[in-house]
Amino acid sequence: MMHRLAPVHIGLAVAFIGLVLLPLWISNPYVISVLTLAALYAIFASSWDILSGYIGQLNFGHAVFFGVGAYATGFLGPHLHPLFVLLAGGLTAVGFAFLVGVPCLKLRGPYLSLTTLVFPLILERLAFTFRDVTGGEYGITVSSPLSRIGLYYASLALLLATLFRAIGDDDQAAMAAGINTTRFKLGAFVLGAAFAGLGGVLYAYHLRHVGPETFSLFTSFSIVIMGIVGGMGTIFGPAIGACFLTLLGESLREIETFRILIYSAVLILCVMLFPKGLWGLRNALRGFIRKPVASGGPQ
Amino acid sequence: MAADIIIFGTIWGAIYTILALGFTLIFGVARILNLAYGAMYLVASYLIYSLVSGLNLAAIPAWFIAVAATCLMGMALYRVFIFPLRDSLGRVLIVTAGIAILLQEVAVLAYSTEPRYVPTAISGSFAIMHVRVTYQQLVTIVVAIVLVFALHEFLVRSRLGRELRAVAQDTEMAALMGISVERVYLSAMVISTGLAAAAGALVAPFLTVSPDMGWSPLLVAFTIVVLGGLGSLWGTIIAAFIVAYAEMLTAFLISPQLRDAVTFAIMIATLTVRPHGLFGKGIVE
Repeated sequence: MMHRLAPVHIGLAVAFIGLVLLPLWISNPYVISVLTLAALYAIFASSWDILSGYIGQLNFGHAVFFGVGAYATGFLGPHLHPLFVLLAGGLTAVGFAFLVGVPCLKLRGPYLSLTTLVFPLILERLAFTFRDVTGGEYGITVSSPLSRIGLYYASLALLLATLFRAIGDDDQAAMAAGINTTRFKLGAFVLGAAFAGLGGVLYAYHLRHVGPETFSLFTSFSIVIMGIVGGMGTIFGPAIGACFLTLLGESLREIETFRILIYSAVLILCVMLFPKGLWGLRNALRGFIRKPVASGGPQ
Repeated sequence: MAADIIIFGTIWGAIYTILALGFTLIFGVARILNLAYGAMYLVASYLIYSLVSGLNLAAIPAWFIAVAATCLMGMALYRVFIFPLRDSLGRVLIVTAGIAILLQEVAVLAYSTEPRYVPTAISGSFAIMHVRVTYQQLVTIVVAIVLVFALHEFLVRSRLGRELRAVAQDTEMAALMGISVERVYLSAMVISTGLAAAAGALVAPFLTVSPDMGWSPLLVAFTIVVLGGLGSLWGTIIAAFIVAYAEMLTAFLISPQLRDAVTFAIMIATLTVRPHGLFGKGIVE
């Protein structure tokens, strides 16, 4: 099925090319580092959306997938070639997709949400307890095989791959709608987890560290917040929500508490006032522009 | 060791019973899964800390003020945030999660992440089977039993209690009978918040109060409701004690850090293997 090329897609493509060319003008390592982080969160949020948006169920524990990818990097980074580390991160996440996905197959609504919520929390407790292996609260130091710029491009490339794969799935989602196949649901778990796991490897390289806070409640919730604020079920929306909130959060970086406070306030406002998120505002904006022409408006 | 597990398991079983009853009340009656439930426990704990340590209030009035103020807050939360989103279970879930995170961070700003200690109302302790039990813990069990009994009597005998049960069984029929469903929902929210607050204010003196303390009671209450089934008082009580003993076994035999993890594992196992709970009348449709 052909996708109609909307102005917004052209806009996104231009923005993306701008991001690719950006290091030619700006070499400030801080800016590059923030943009890398934004791209990584965009990967997590859009891979969250592959799962949550398409099956219409809120996954409250996406951190489990990129968290195990990050820990795989911590364990295997010193011993393997980076490409194998990437593969291992993706495969570990896929393994966990089955572990989490199979119990979730029959669950819906809040049951699915709370079941997914507790998986990363269990791993967090285990990481604290088995400190000989995981380094406890100090975690594991990771050395990156890539330069800052290299990591930036790797993150952009993975983001592009995630977005393309996700919109490719759109048609499949449409076909599966109403059929409610177990395979489709598990497939969404595996696909979402795989991209998150790959992102987790880059995340560990970016932070040069992996620790139990990766599995914390707030890490999982921040992905949900990005997804909801961006617009759940739209793939691009969560990616944009992730960029928006990461940049907003970074401007308030001095105090972590303020960042969390702002995230939760934005979430509450969004759910109350704009349930379709930032991506939904796009439609509202279009409706506003076209209003003088088409009387009656949408619906 | 065995004595520790039995005694502390019993104390926590009593606290968990209150927590689970409050959680199941709002969920059973109004189908609201309130993720800010644990935050109410948190608010009550900090209120009692402020009242007792800050204002030097006596323990008993402080306890009543903390619970009453938290109830008002629950009422406000319902009116402002939950009521407009009532028709969407998913949006209620998200907004209450947002509120829980927000309140946690407000607590960080107001009190820092440093754990706080609430002075015990009744000092002193005694020993059963060589395990030291404080009078505060004994009072907690007694209050828990009184609350469970009072809740049972309220649901069975009072007019509002009967309306609550009618709405829980069949909302449409209850509305046709002239029951104001909205008023019942609000009452359920207030009583539910009150039970979370009562538990929070009861345990504050023998735990430390810290901003992240609200999540574990929420997840424990959810686990118990899943395990015990909805609308069964005995199911809830038995499930609460199963979870409490399982936690104490893990804490004493393996590691205190894994205490929560075993509850989470029980939740996953129940939903996977026995989604209707131990006693049939499950909550998973």
